[in-house]
Amino acid sequence: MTATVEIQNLSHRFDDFTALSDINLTIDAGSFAVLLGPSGCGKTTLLSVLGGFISPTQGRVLLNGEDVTHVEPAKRATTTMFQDYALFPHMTLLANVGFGLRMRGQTRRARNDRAMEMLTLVGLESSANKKPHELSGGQRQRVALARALAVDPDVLLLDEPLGALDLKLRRQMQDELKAIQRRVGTTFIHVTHDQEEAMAIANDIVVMNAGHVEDTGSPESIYLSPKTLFSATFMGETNVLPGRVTTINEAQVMIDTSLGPVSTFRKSDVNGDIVVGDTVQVCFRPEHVHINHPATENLQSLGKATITDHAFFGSHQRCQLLAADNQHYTAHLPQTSPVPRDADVGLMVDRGSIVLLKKTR
Amino acid sequence: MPGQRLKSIGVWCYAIVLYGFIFLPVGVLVLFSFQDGRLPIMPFKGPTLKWYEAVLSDSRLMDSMINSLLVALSSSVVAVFLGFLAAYGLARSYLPAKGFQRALLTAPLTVSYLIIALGLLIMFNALGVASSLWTIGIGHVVINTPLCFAIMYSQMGDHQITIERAAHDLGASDFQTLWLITAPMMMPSILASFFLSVTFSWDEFIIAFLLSRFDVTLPVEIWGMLRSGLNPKTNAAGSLVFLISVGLLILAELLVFRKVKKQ
Repeated sequence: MTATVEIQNLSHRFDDFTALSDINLTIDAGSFAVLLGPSGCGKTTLLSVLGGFISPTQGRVLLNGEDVTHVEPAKRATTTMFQDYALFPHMTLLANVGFGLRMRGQTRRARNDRAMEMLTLVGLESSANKKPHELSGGQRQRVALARALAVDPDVLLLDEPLGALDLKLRRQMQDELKAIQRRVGTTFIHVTHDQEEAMAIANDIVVMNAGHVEDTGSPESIYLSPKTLFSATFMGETNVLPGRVTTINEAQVMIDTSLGPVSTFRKSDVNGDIVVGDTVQVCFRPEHVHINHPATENLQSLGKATITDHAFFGSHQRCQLLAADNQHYTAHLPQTSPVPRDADVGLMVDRGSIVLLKKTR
Repeated sequence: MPGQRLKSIGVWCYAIVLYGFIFLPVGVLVLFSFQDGRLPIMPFKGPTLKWYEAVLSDSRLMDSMINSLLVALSSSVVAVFLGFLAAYGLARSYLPAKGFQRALLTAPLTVSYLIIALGLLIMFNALGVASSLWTIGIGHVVINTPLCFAIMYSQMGDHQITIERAAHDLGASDFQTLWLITAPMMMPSILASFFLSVTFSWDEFIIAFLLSRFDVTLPVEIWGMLRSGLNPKTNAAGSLVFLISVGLLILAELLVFRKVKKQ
């Protein structure tokens, strides 16, 4: 089963600390949503509110249109996969996975059949009679997933479940989670502070910061056209060049910056509220920076720069460039491109990939 | 090298003296329970099992042993039950003056058994409750509940909170969580406090002495025997008490500590 999750005007305070402020969010049925943000941004609190472990100070949570704001966890169509797995240490895997069904009054045979089916789904059918302490971290993880899915919840809440695993296992589990989510169709809401993990698994990413939602959208839209500076810098790396809008015409926006005039293509959908005279941030990703490239219509020159640092990263070369405004900019250059150290190079950026953000906060 | 050697001799001597100090009294007691003579004093003559025969055929002694077992087992069950609920309540819910309540619950540990026994005696007299095995049992619950509480409270870790949450999340009621998740998870400390409580009750004398009348427990009966002078029969009774205590210890080791190691 699956459900749409709607969060309306949600706020929560712990004593005098505001953990969540006025959150409005809709997560489509059957999607894999990721709440992404630095620690302390309120993402885990939001997950606890969705799971019913915290009653919010204000606002509503709707599952398939039904208000469940103050329904206790046991009576909610959500289950949680906890950060430390929270397996029952004295029970076999079969009993662990079957526990939710036992609480729903199913017969031993019915729940064992279902538990076995879930253990097969996560590839642990041969360990059904083991106890949790006999398993590795990744296996416990899978049992926790099977246990949470066994009761066929509408929404599965995952509280940084991959945090304790090593990188290789984490990648593998990300793929598995995604595959399992596609198979069962349940709405997954996953909390993480790791933006790569978010991009690896999510259909929808909700970027959170200091208790409010900064940005929502697909991984591509958040990465390529972030709505706030926080979103741009948290989702991957970005270079920020402050400037002031001088001219706007149908096709282009002209900005006066410390590296001279910059013109970008006007994107009416995202730049709709920018007017002449606004202070803006010109943001561009390191992979959109080029050096010593012949000038073309699509490249914007940012003057001369010096490469001060350079490292080989396998898939690309990462360089620090000192530009005319005495600021450092990061570039990811192709694997094999020549990198002249301590020589002046022409700094260019893809005009189409520049994101203009109005300075708000 | 000679220094090393001297040191190791010293260590050995220390160990022998230490263990001798702890176990010699018990050893002597057990040894002279096999004494073939009327007095449990040097020189040792024997061995003989006739004193054990005398103990086992002494119906008063055997009755008191059964009384002791009854009181020890039932008072421990009650003490563990009360201690567990108190520990759970204090560890898992928001209570006013939590620290003070915890101190209040463990305070009886620091009060001497004599004072507790006197208090109970005065109270039972005032209430018109006649001394019996019941009153001894109540006395033992009073002294063992704080102990059971302290042991179990110390083992109620925060990591179990998430596990209990998971049970709630999967649809378990509070009672189901307590019965199916918390209690089994706490089993090592539940058993540990149970066995400790049984052992304490089994050889407790002062409360049992002051709060008993016709039916007495084994320590009180042995004390009665001692009043008529030393006798190898007393040694045999003492040895049996010791044997049962050792039995409990081994049982606890097998049931509790094996389990802990496995997890």
